[in-house]
Amino acid sequence: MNLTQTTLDHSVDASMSQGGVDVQAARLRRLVRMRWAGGAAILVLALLEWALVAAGKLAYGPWMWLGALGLGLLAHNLVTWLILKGYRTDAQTGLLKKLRLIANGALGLDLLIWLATIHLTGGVLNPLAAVLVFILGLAAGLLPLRQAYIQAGIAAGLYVALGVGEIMFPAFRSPSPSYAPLAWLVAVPVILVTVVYFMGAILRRLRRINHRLLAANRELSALDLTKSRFLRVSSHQLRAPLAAVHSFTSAIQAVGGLNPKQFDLLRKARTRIEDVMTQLDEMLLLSTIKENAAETFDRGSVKLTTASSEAVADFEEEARSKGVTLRLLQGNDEACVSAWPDALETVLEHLISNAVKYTPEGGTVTVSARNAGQNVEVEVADTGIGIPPGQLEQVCREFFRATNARQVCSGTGLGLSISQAIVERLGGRMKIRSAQGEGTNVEVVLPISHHAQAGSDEPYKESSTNQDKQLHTSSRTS
Amino acid sequence: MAKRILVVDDDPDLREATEIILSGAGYDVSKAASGEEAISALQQEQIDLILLDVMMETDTEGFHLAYKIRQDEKLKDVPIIMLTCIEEKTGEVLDPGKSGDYLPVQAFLRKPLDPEVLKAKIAEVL
Repeated sequence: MNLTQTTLDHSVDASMSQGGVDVQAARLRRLVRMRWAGGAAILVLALLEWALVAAGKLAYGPWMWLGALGLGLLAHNLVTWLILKGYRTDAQTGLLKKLRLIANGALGLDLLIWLATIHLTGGVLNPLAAVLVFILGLAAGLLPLRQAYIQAGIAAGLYVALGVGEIMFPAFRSPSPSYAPLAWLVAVPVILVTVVYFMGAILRRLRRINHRLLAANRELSALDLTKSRFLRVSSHQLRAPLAAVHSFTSAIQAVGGLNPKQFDLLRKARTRIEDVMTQLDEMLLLSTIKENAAETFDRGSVKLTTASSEAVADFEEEARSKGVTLRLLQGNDEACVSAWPDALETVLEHLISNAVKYTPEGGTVTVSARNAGQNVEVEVADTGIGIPPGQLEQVCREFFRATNARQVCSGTGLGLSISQAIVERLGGRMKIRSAQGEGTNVEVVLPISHHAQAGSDEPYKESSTNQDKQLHTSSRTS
Repeated sequence: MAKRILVVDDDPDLREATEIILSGAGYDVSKAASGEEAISALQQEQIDLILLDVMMETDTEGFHLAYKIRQDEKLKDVPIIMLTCIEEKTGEVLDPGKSGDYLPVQAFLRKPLDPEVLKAKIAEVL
């Protein structure tokens, strides 16, 4: 299935693409068709005026001028029609510009002719002025907005000038034909129909585009799901044989009889297998979170302070051996978030793991948790290598590893994707700030669960082995 | 007298590798590839500990077997160590123990097995 077929073929403004030229040409052709009617209408008006003069109802009427205007319009339309017939579909550079020029010319001429017609059929306060509205509506659809505004401005200016002229020089005025009041009865319905026509056309187009966007979006979501499912199944399938290989390496060591060199090689092989299995586990976790609707996981109330204490405790050993200070700042409040067991810990473990990994000896990693109204905010801040500018947006992408991170140690590139997927699944947000060489700051905001306090099996654990633990929430300056 | 451990897993390679590790540590080992084989092994031999893989033929076979063992008068006190995979963490496997009373097993261990961790846990449980 070709994905590009479901993306938009035409954009709302005529673009330089092939589709844009075709749309413009189609609209021009429609304009030409309407102008036949317009020219005919003017001729009818001319005839009407001639009839009224002939019947003596009117002193005089410039029906000859009107006739000339009508014929002029029809003649210009014929020329335009011939030009449009001649143009070829294959995109020539500048064809769009040519079409725009034709449109501008036709519309400009229309405005002038109709202004004159309005003037000649009784002055600017003539209901026929409604036709100008119609023409400018067409202009707005045919021309780029700025050019349409220019046309409108010129028309308006000329209209006012005509009006002023008619007021100041009564002789300039055409006699008002007696059909003028009647004409309003025609004009108002015409205006109403015009409005409905234009609004309807615009809305119809917008609805069509909306449909296409929704369909494309649905398809992309389905594709994303398919990708996640494939990832999950493959990871699952790959795990079993790897587990077997891993067991066999253990079994070989248990059987014994290896010389030190063999033992060492086997140990290295086993480590690599464990790395792959970790990678697969992460991929599995990520695709499961992305694939499953929230209902699959049984959610309960998870106390934030418990999760953060446990996550920090997991990394104390590693931090200590690296010479990195790891501290936890939180109060002893009871704030809970709605999450499945392990969710919070998984997020925090990934964030703290990153912080410790990428902070050199002597640095500090600070985990802080605090209440902020309806939310809890957890922040993991380090004084490590930071993220290079320009790579900050990509850092949460699957398998992405920043260039400076690669040099420090190996990694799956999935930690932040997993954390972000979980946080979003829980209804929260994750924000990352960083300065290369100075450190990184990851903030997770989660909504507080308003369920009654969960009957937690474990009371709030005082993690007494934390260095530098403070019992009062302090506001951090980063 | 050496303790006898029953290894229940549908993967033959894992059964073999586990047998090697455990007999190296001085245990007698019986093997079963499914729930039925495990039950017949339990009836024919004196088993001192069961090493049970959760996911075998079906997603819940391990749990159902553990449940059945606990129901049996003769077997209900045999210690069980369950071997789980990442799938439980991600909520894929139904846990009959979750709704209702907790399924009493002695320990849960994550695959891939670290032989030292396994041996230590077994020694602790026996």
